[in-house]
Amino acid sequence: MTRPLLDVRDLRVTFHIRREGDLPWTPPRELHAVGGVDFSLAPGETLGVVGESGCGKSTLARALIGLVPAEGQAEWIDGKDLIGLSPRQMMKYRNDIQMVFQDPLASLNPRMTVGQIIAEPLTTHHPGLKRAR
Amino acid sequence: MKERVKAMMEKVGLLPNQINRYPHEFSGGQCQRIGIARALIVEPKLIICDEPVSALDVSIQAQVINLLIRLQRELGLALIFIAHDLSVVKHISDRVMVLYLGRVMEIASSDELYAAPQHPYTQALLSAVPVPDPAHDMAGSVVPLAGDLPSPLAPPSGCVFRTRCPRATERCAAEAPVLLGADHQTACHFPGPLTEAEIAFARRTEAA
Repeated sequence: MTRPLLDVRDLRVTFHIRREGDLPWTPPRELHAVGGVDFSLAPGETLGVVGESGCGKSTLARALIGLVPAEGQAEWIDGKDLIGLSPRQMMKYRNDIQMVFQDPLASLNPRMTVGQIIAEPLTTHHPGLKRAR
Repeated sequence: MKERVKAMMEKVGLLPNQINRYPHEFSGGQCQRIGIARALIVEPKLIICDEPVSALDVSIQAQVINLLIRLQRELGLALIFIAHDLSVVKHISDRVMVLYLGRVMEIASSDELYAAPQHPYTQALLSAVPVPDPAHDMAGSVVPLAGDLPSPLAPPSGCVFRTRCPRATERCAAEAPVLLGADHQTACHFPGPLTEAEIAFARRTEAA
């Protein structure tokens, strides 16, 4: 088998929940949104993720691109573990891993033109191109 | 740069002369095309689609999905496609992973999973997919699930699905099943197709 593009081992996302009425010294409760997920993804492959609302599908996605803190391991094809990277280190991979969201209108900035919206990631990840505009 | 943006707009099925328009001037399907163009412009290796078509009309869903499939083939992209609509997932995926309360229940190639689901949860989920055939007896084929999703703050011991599983035994409460198998992996102590008796039992418990 060829080397996987992404190899995820025991990925866990835990939220610490405080409820109304909890006293300041009550320890927050732990919510395991993703409890140990393993899978690997080959280059060019499509992996479908299904399950009812609240089963952790979106949290899993957000964990992979570093939008929520996670534990475990997610090895990218170059051997780097994406979990626990600093934002600066993650920038390099943000270019290679893109996301498409559910609500199309809400995820687009209403004050930018379509051209600006589409060009924005390019100027973020490749600042050198800005001049060539 | 402008040329690159225009080329990308053309690729996702938008008119390049709309480049100076604002998002509110577009329909939902067009907005999703903008989102896809924005994701593709940096030439990524992986796109994670989080319910990309759930907010769209069914007729538009097919267009956006076919666009994603076409772009994926052209550009050799990997996709992680998240959805709760099983027929959409079947159409687009090579492999499918079924999650329940943050745990993997079953993962297999899409053909295999839909033809021969092993986990009771997958079977219940698949039985709820509408079949476009008026002669099909929907009421007779659905495996009902009793109760609601348990609170993730207090997940059941052992197998997280056991509280709603028609096949659960004491072992399921004591011991969490691990994901077993080579290509078709299932996390269940007692995998295999549900029998008539078990489906009938599930229906009685659900009615009660």
